[in-house]
Amino acid sequence: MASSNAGLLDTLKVSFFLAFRSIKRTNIGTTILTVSIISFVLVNLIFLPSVVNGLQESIEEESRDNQYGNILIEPKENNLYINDVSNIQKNINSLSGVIGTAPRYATGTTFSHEDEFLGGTLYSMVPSDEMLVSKIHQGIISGEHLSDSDRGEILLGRDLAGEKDVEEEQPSLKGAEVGDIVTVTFSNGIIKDYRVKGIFGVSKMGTDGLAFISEKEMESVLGIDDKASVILVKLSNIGTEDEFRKKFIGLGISEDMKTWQEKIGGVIGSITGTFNLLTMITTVVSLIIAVVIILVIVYINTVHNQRQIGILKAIGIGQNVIIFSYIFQALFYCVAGIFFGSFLLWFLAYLFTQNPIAFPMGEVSPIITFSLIAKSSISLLIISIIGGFLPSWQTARQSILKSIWG
Amino acid sequence: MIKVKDLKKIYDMGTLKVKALDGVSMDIKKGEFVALMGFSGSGKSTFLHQVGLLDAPTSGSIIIDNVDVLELSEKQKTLFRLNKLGYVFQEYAILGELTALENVYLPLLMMGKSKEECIASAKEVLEKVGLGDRTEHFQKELSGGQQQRVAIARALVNKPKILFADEPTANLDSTSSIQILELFQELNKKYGQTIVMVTHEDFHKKYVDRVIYLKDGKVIKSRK
Repeated sequence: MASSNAGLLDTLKVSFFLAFRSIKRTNIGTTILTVSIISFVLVNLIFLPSVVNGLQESIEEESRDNQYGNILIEPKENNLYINDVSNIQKNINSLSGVIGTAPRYATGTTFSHEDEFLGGTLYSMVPSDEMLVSKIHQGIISGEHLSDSDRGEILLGRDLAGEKDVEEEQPSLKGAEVGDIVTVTFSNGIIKDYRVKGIFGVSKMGTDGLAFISEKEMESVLGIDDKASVILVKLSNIGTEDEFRKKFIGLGISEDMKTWQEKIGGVIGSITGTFNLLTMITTVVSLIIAVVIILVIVYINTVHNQRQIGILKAIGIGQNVIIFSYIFQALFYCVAGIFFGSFLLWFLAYLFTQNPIAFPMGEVSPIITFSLIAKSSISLLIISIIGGFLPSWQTARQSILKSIWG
Repeated sequence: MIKVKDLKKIYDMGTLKVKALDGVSMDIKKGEFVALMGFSGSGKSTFLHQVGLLDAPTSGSIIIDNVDVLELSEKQKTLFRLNKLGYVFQEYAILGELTALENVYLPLLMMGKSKEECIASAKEVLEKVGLGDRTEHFQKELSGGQQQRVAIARALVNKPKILFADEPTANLDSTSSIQILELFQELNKKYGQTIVMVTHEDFHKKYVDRVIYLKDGKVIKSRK
């Protein structure tokens, strides 16, 4: 009786030996072509999702940094404003882990500059508070940021200020500049001229279309005191929002509180939903291309080596050894493709970080995460196992005589 | 060593049934060098394929080294071929991607031997077949006779119970043919290697112990 001395380890050892020799002595041009194709497939698999990641990250950052903070406090249902704002701020600011709070008061107005008239919302801010919470002060592109005591001065977003003689998608003041006068008509009928103190540009996703005056100015014009439409709360750590919301409730704050994730959930959902559909289509197409390429390469290889496979079987090399050797070869091409593809992706990521892609909502750089590379690499590895297995299994299961003599 | 009884191989060609082997029976003793001869289509290669476990007969029995080999599963047959049989084909059936040395030590690697053992044994056998200085050469760098000697070395490296050779000199010139036959004879006389060889060359008879003649799938004569 034949000794059963061909264990799994020996099988893998011989398979690896055959695969290694085959790769080593194969045509270098074929190897380069195959590895290049797999590299491009990997880039195709990862690049679009990485842009979606970048887009999502931009939206999230913008919402946290400029629009909502980590937690946005809004008036209770049926209330127009939050009252007793300074007390709420004092309570929240006393908690460790809170970086700052910034109240904003919003009122409907009409802006006019030279011949341009524009309806919009004017916000008040406490500049010293705002600097702890938002990044508007870091985005001043001309002039200066507001100060707490400013009166008669206005801070305009880049999109609201607009540009002279340029056709823009959104209505603007057509080139308001620092030092210009913008006339604001308030809802209570008061009309007041404001000197443009600064223009900021932080994001095309809404913030750059806003205008701010100081809280003291707003209070004097509208005759209000210690009121806000919203209070933005900035926390030290992302992910602690729910924990802090509970703490705020514990402090007796009964206003509506929403985390930034809740505020942007719908927006992100619809944008990423659309992109995910596109990504899924390109992923499926890329994987089909990859499996077909590997199948064709291994199939040609096995057909070319059919006689060799017959000889191997005749001298006692098991069918599994032969199949594994082709799977190893396919895996080699795949791993080399992943390696060079990752290098290509790193280069593309660098290139697009230096020159971000322009989207209607702003500039976006691709974000390539480890999980994205891991998922795509695993998909390619599975594909290469299938691509290596099917043709070699089909050829190796033929009878020895048919393999050798056809 | 080999006991074959009433071996039949019938090819079903639709309405036509071709009897390639029609009840062949024979015994081959340990250490015997046997030649199978006959005209083309006599069934000699078909017989070799059946006893060499490269194909399955329609009926009959084959006992090799006291094992009823037709009862073995495909996996067991593969192991049996690896451990107990050696093959030399008509064409130079060596692997082009491997050197002469790698071609020879491949069966040993499959048997689980260490690489050092494999290399040592393969070099020893290559020396024995006169290719000690060609170990690192590839197929394309070897002559036909040298390639066939690599195939013989590979067939011998696992110290097989039986060496099967299917017209091993058919593609060789007369000088190389004689070298191969003398090598077979030496292996048989010096090491007691059992050899079953298919041939159609009359002058090969002088190298073997016994000639078995086949005709129309039957043994018609067995002569020492």
